[in-house]
Amino acid sequence: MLTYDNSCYEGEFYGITQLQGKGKLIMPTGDSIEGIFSGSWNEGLKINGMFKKSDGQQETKKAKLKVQIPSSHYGKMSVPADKKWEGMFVQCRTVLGVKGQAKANTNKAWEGVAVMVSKGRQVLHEMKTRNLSSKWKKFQGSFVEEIEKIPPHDKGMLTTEYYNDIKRYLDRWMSLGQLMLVSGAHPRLLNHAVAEVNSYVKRIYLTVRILFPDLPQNGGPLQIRSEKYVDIDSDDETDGVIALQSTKSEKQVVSAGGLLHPFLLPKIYPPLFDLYALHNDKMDEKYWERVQKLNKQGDVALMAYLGVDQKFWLLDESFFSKRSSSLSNIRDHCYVVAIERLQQISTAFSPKEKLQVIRDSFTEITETVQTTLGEEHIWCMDELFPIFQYVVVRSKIRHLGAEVHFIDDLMERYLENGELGIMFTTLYACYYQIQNEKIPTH
Amino acid sequence: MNGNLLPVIKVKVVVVGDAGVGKTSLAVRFTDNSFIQHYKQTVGGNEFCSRALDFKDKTVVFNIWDTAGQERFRSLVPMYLRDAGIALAVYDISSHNKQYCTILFRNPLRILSWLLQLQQYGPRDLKCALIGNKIDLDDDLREVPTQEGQLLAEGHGLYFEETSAKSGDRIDKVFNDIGIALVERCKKEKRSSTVSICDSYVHRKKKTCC
Repeated sequence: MLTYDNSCYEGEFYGITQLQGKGKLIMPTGDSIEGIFSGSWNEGLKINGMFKKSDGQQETKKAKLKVQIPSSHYGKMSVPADKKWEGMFVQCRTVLGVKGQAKANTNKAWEGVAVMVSKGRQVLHEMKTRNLSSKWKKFQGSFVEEIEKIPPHDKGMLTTEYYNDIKRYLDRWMSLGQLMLVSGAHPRLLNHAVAEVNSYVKRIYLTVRILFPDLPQNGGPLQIRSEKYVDIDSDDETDGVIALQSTKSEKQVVSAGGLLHPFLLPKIYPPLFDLYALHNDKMDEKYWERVQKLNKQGDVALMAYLGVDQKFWLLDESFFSKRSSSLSNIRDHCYVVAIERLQQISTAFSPKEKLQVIRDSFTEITETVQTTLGEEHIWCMDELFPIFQYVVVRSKIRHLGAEVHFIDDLMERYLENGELGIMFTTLYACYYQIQNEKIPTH
Repeated sequence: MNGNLLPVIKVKVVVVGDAGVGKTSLAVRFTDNSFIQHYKQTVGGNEFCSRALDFKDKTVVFNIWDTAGQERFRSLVPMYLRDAGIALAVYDISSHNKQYCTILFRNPLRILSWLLQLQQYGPRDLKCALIGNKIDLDDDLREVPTQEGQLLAEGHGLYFEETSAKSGDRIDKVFNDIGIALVERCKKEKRSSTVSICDSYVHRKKKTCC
């Protein structure tokens, strides 16, 4: 049993909350009591046993590994993430005609789907005879019809349009299925929840791949292009550049997480994010305190303090011509669009969407700078970092630490070293910097 | 897909050094100067640079991460070093740029502190290189003799080169040398945590390179 202050009791219980019998209680300090317990947490415990003071060494070790749990049994009693809801997955695979570890046959699997759908139809039909409200009937009817349409599933080559078809099809199915996740709100449960999410993604992906074998093995990442895509073979430099730009939006990267996170995560987002918020509570508190202090300053003062180069303050001449008192009063004027964009991070539910938000915010910064300065600007981190830090401070994202942790846990590894990776790291660095940089006393 | 397709090694290259020594110019010069199609991302400005180079039997994709060099951001460097395969510690050989850290300038301890930070916080198999930048400037502006950089690099067992990001001098050589070393290293140890070998292929034009 774990409590909020990280005390841990290991031993015999009577009922759920009553401790009764032999056990060991380990306190957050590392001190422990071993003996006979009786009573409950709320009403007081009667203990007959031995108190052991922890040696200092252990304590420092514990402080470092804050998340570690003193009990060796912890987590071993529960079902490992990969085994949870196994029955459901087995059932699913059986319907799709896969027995045990046998190799899946796509056509057979679709037959299985067809059988299930027609069974569902019969049930519906029976329901109709029982006079259900027409609205409900209509909804169900159109739903089954949509599912009945079997999309092409064996093209041999994955393209953007095809990928979007798959996504649409899955979307319909997913509106049916509901998955459960560990709920409850002890920060200790976070690791379990994350393991579970990753396991679901892995297993659902395997199941979906039976139906759409063209999806990349092992969950990608695989770069795909639109059907309309034409190879840039031209040796002519300018031609190539133009073609590249026009096809850029049609290029996509397929991966298990990219495909399934948007379906899965919104359903479980609130409890999952609560876990992250709890886990990062202390850090976020410290960060929030700083953010509020920093936000008391006007735009100019804040940018000057954060070390933003004066040419990026982007204030019109008109500001300077006014009295200097008004200069210090300017507030929430600079980089507003980028700030608003970044604030949307809290309404994105999957790591990739959140990363997209960060990227959009950077894009806005660049656009703002380019329109104001009227030239193409090549960023270097020396200049960009302070500006982004300014944007982060002004966006006042309440649980930034939880956001960062969420993305870090669930983002797919292939994204890490790319453009999104460096932007994410910069956001993380800002979070760290805001927490730890000394604030000057005015 | 066209051209000859080689297995791809992706490696993250982190560029560190004081503000104003030319970290970004170096990265931009390398990625802009490419013979083959690089996919420098234009989204969100040019802060992300990446370029592929072909070697004997591998293509190496260098993902270059620029960092902020100001003293106050020093504690953030370890975050950027995560999963990095290569780090370039850049310093300014001249006294040209007086704007930044004039007092600390010409102090060998400056670059040494960067090297120590790389060793302390970088991944275990991080390969570091020491780069003296701005050799395009007149000789009388030079403050750090070549030998000094060389000695420092030898003392730490590092790759050393002097470059000019402005003229592009020897930038490609640096990445060529690093790439060759990297390919060799990958042969020796088939698995490496910081260098990912993947099945994907870089899409490129039919232009011959190097």
